[in-house]
Parts: sequence; structure tokens; C-alpha cells
Amino acid sequence: MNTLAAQRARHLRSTLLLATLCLAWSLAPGLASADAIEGPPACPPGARGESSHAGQWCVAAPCASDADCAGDGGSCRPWRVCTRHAAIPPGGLGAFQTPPPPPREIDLVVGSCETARACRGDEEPPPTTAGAFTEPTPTCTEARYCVADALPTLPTLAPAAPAAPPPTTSGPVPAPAATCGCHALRGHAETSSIMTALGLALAISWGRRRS
Amino acid sequence: MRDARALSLLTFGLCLCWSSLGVAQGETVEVAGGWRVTTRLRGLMDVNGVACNDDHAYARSWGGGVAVWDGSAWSELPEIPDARHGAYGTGLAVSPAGELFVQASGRIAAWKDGAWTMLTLPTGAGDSPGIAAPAAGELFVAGRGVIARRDGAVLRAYDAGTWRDLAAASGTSASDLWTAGQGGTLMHWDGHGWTRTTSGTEAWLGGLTAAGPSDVWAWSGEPRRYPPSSELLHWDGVAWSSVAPPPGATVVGVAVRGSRVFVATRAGIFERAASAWSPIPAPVDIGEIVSVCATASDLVVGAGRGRVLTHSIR
Repeated sequence: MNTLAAQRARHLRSTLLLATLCLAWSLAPGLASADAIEGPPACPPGARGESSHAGQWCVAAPCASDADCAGDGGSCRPWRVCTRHAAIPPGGLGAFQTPPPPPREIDLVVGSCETARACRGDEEPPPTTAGAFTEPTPTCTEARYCVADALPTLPTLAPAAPAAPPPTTSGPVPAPAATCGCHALRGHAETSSIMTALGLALAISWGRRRS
Repeated sequence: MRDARALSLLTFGLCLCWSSLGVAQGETVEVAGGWRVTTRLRGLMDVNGVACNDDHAYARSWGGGVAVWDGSAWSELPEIPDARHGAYGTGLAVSPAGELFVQASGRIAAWKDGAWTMLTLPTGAGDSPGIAAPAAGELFVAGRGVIARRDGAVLRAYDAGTWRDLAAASGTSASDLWTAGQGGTLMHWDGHGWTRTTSGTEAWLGGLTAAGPSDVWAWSGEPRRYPPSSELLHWDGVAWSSVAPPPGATVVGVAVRGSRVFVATRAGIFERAASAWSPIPAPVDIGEIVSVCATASDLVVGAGRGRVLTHSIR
């Protein structure tokens, strides 16, 4: 009797554990997305990306030798980076503290400068950041930074036949083959089905032992 | 004790019901309004992308399962080989000639003449590169400051004209290629050089559909990207302009067929008519929509819970 009771208790624990896991799995994606941190962003030459609960930004990647660039890639060489001072408010749990911690003051890299040390400004849109700029104009700083090695230029095409004139806006557009690179979020239905199958097997096993 | 057992069984039963919603696995059911609903193709439990050419549509799962629609039924393609590397990803593109390209972890799986061949992604392609197959034999992959172009059995990396992260690519030929991504970046390759165009937004642009040299759509819609937004942009051959998206939900795709323009949001499908969006009602609860494309005869919608829907647009 004791053995049977122990077996039943063990099965009950297994079933409870399974049910808890199943429930947790169905709730987990929502919780995870609420607490997601994006990885570091792509940054201009001479900068490296950082990210936290507060967002993403780019900071300068100064160096003394190529060895300092092992983590960033590229090589250490003279470069000019444009920076703008910014204040990044706390993210994550820090945002809910009373009083909230002060924003982080930081120089964000927003691009590269011309040879005359003029920031190009609008030639590239500013890098993604969650902070707010506190200076109206960028500053050019010249130093040695980790700069990615240049890639070759995409080979140009041979001169082709003149392109067809653009379609008129009043008539129907010719039907081209629409191609696209389409994205979406990862689902969890497949794993859920595996969990369901495991649960079903366990339930059947339990039922057989009981009978 | 008995209450605990009952509670656990109830929870388990609910989980079982939740994961079994819908019609039988792998079946296509015709429903009202010209819709056909296919659920649970064996290798496609979690559809996360669809791509079309004139004749066929393809759907993929996160794990690399791929199915093809021939206008009347879905069938599964053989498993992407060498699966120990994984075949995970979201990228999917098909050329007008029918060559299919599937992001498969750090590789691109190419399907042609009934066989898979594998291409290795170059360094810098990133986790979520944009894939475009604008013409027969042409494959471009856009990543972090990198554009890779297929050269026989390899992908060669070139300067993308920007250091930014590029997440989408689409084109109508090897001399009409668009890329989009971080910070509202929109770049055009005309066969001779890159041109950076003004998008008017700093949103993360995660999708592109190039239907013609004067008809290109770009959209943001990744809610976890910063800054969060749901932008829809149109290129008319001269400039990009912002178009008000359908109300209420994030844009996940644009499909163009002739003069007809369809936009999918996470919550529904809409067709553009007289500068407004007209909803195409779905007759069943199709869950969260993830992607859309159009063949010559069908609108193809990838949705949650492993569902693929087709809707006649003839």
C-alpha cells in the first residue's frame, strides 16, 4: 500500500510539474518581451555599440594598438569621430526608483567628420539611442580608434539597354514578380506541441499504472 | 490533494486545447469569402515568413521547415541538409524564375531543380539579414554595413554604402536593388553605385517590397526595435513619402500584384483603394499575422499557430 501511495504521489508531483511548466511556457513569451534588451547596434567607424534597458547607443572605441581592437574587429588607426553629448535616462528597474537616479551623461558617436574636421551631420541619420542630446551641434574629435577594415565596392554592371520609361500614375502598373525578404517573430507553437505530446504520454502512462 | 490533482489536470487540459486549436493538421479547408486555410503542415508549426513569385508561394518556419503552394495545395520541401548547424532564421526570398533562398542559421539554403545547396553567410551579415532574389541567378544578402552577392557557389561581401544594420532587401533586377534598416536607412543600388535616399524617419525599417522601379514599399513594424513605430513608406520613382498605415496594429508586410496593393498588419489584411485601406475580412480567427505575399492568383498570408491562408485575388 505504501508503495502504491508513494507511486501515486510521485505521479502527482510529475503531473503538477508538467502542468506548471506548460503554464509557464504559455506565459513566458509575453514576460520575456516585456523585459527584452536589444543587442548593441551597428555603429559608425571608430565606435562600438552598447545597449541596456535604457536603449541602444554608440560610444567611441579609442585604441593604442590593433590588440585593443580584438573585440571590436578592424584595426587601430587615426580617425575622426563626431560626438554629441547626451543624457540617457535610467532604464529597467532604475526607472521606477524614487527618486529616479540621474541620467547618464555620455558622448555619443553620431558619425565621422570630414578631413577639415567638420561633422557631416546629416549625411548619416544619427545612430539609434534612447537618450536625448544636450548639445545642439556635434564635436569632431581626432584620435586613434578601432575602425572596421574597408570592404570592396560591389562590382558595377556592364552598360545595359535603356530602362523602360516609368509607368504612368493613371494607368495600371505592369505586374512584376513581387519578391521580398519577409520577417516575423519566432513563435513557440512547435515547442508547445512537443510539451503537449510529452504531457499526453505521461497522462496515458499514469492512467495505465492506475488501472 | 484531490483538489491539486484536479487543478493540474485542468491546467494540462487547457494547454492541450490551446495547442490544438483549429482544424486538423496538414489540411486545407475552403471557407467563405474565397479563403483557404491550411494548418499544421508537419515541418511548419510556426510560420514566420512567406514569399511569392508569379506561380508559387513559399512559407517557412523558424526552424527551417519550408512548404510550397502551387495554386491548389501545399507540399513540404525536403529538410534543409546538414541540420547540425541549425536552419533557424526568418529570411526568405524567391526569384521570378523560382529559385528559393532560405536563411538557415549562418547560411543560405538555395532550392533549385529539386535540390538544396548551401551558401555560407559572410562575416557581418548579422543575425537577421535581408534577402533579395530580384532576377534569375541573382541573390543579395544585406547585413551590418555589408551587402553580399552570390558568385557561383559563394557569397561575396561588399561595402553596402553605409555602416548601418540592414534588415531588408528587395529589387526588380540586379540594377534596381533596395536595402533598408537601422535609423530609417534606405539605400538604392542602380548597378553602378549606391544612393542614400531620404526616408524622413529614424524608425527601424524591417521590410521592403519592390514591385517596380517606381513602386516600392518599406515599413517598420518591429515593436521591440527602438524607436517603436509603425511606419509605411512608398517610393514613387522620385521620392519616399509616408503613407498612413491601416489603423490599429503593426504593419508586417506589403504585397503588390499589378495595381493592387495589400497590407498585412498583425491583426488583419487590407487592400488599398482610393488612398484608403479597405479590410479583407477573414472568416475565421486566423491569429496573429506574420507575413504576406501575392502570386498571380492568390494572396498568401502566414499567421500564428502554424496557419497559412490563401485568398483568391483573380
